[in-house]
Amino acid sequence: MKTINASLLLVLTILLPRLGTGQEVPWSPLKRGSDNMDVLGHLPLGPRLSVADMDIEQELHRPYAYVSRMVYGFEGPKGLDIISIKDPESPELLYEWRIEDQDLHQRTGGMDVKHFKWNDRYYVVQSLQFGQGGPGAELGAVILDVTGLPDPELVREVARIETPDFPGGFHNIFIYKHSNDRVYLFTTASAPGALVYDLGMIVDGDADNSRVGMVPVPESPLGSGSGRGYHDFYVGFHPDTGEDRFYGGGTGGYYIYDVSDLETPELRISLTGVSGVNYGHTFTPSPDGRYVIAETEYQYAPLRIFDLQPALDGEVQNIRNPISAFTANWKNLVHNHEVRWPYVFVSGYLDGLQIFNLQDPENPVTAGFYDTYIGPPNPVRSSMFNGAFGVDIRNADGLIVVSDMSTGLWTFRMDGFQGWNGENWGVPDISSAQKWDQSLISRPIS
Amino acid sequence: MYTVYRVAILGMSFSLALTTSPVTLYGGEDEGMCVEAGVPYYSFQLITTKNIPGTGRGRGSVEVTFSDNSPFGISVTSDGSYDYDLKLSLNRIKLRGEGRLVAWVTTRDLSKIRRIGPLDPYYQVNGSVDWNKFLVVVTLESNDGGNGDKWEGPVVFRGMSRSGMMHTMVGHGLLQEENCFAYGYDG
Repeated sequence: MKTINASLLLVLTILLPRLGTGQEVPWSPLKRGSDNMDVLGHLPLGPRLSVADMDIEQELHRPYAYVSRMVYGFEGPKGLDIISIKDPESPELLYEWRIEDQDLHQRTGGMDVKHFKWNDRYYVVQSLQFGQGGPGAELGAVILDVTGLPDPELVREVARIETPDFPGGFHNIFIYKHSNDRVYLFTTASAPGALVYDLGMIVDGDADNSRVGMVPVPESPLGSGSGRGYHDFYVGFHPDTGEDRFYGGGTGGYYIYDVSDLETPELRISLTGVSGVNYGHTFTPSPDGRYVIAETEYQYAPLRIFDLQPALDGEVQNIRNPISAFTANWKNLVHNHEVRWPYVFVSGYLDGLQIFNLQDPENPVTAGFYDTYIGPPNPVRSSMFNGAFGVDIRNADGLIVVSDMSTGLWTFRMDGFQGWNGENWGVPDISSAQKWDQSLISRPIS
Repeated sequence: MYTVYRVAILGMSFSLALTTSPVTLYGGEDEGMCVEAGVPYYSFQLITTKNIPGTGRGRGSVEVTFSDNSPFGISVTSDGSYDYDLKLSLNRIKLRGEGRLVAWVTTRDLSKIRRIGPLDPYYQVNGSVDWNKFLVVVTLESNDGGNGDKWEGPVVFRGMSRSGMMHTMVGHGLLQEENCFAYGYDG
């Protein structure tokens, strides 16, 4: 009996600490990805904490990735990198745009980046954030004409958007081809709403009149965003109602507006009073607009999934209870995401690329992962903000591209995901990828 | 015993406070004057850009004072602006190769730039400025360069006046993560 007790004690001594502190996630430095993920390419881009969000063009004949460059740590460039992904296995740096006198510009620099097409020319918009103590505090974004890529000599700066009334620059941006066929830039500024610019007017030379609206943040117990009203947003067509809809996360929670008429945005649905949410971050709907994936940017926060059907049916206007949630590692947090229903591709900061499936929206399941960052949490500033920052998907062939704050650009493929068209999944073919040369879907599906 | 120590410490502190008062009288009675000397005003850091080999571990500071020539403790220009003296110094520098370090002062939007001058062999230079908010910039210029209206070489150090930290509250709203510490050049 004594021997048995001693053996049991020995087993417990070995096992118990492992149960308490052992590996809690299936990825590790030596096995960074799930078996269904293929790393195609990797391009390191310089100092740690010097990379922010990214965007890729959707047309296969324009294989370009745009990567924002910032200084979140102590060194790095401030601007934009243009990278060829013609061969996804060998990403190639083509062009670097840098703010002049970048050593004298304060705060982070480049944050978010999006491209657009207008009158047969291609452009990229780089959001910029500079502090009031140095130059450029009124500068919100720069616009480059990138039609001539891959020849870097043909890239030229065509405009800058300045907001002297809202200093501090633009944080997140989103570009949307509206049902009226104009192309609009929605920006997160230090304003009580999202500033909206007509990009066609800007590149056609009428920048002075190009701010065409502001999507407000509704009053809530937390105010209406006297600082930065919104943090991030998505704009998409809503087939069931025929409306252009704005989905914004910010002060108080999340808001959905009808922005068919940009001069008079109308609030449709709000998500406020949500437990654990007093400031929303990225907020993305399913292609039919029924479900939304909502992020909050603090440690331990999962992505929350909400079903908007009661609000879409007019039963309520405010939704406050999620139907499910996803997190990669409960100790960290997950960040930006791209929806290609039923898949959600997430740049999960310290946990790298994470992909989950929402075919059963009440039961999200992990579909793949690859840890792009195996370093530690930050010892300075916010400990969670390192690793995978941005993610984008090329619908034509399913290429997955990630920007990592410290390790640079990554290209992936996931087994069985060879492209995305919503129609093939029984939902409208609507995602963040804009169809510059097509009119919006007129056939409602949902 | 503990109380005795506390009393002693308080007493010593009070004595020190008296003896280290920043107000120093000078000028003899026979001069009929009693004015305050220029007292230390403030200083701010110069932060390396790590652009130039031998400067990555460097440290620097700018002492901002009012001119000793003023009989009033502060100095103002004819238009009423404060007229500051700047004393710039760098250390932990091992500059190799050609070139010299030149100091500049500029407004925060870089619309106005003035040359302070080349740093001496001890990496020091003095200058003045009469702007409210300003940046101090140290650049690496060629041996006979850095004499124009603006620098031509790379920025090696830069720093922001304390007044540059004053800004509108835009961008610092409720629940915002981006704090004022992000202003300046040290992260």
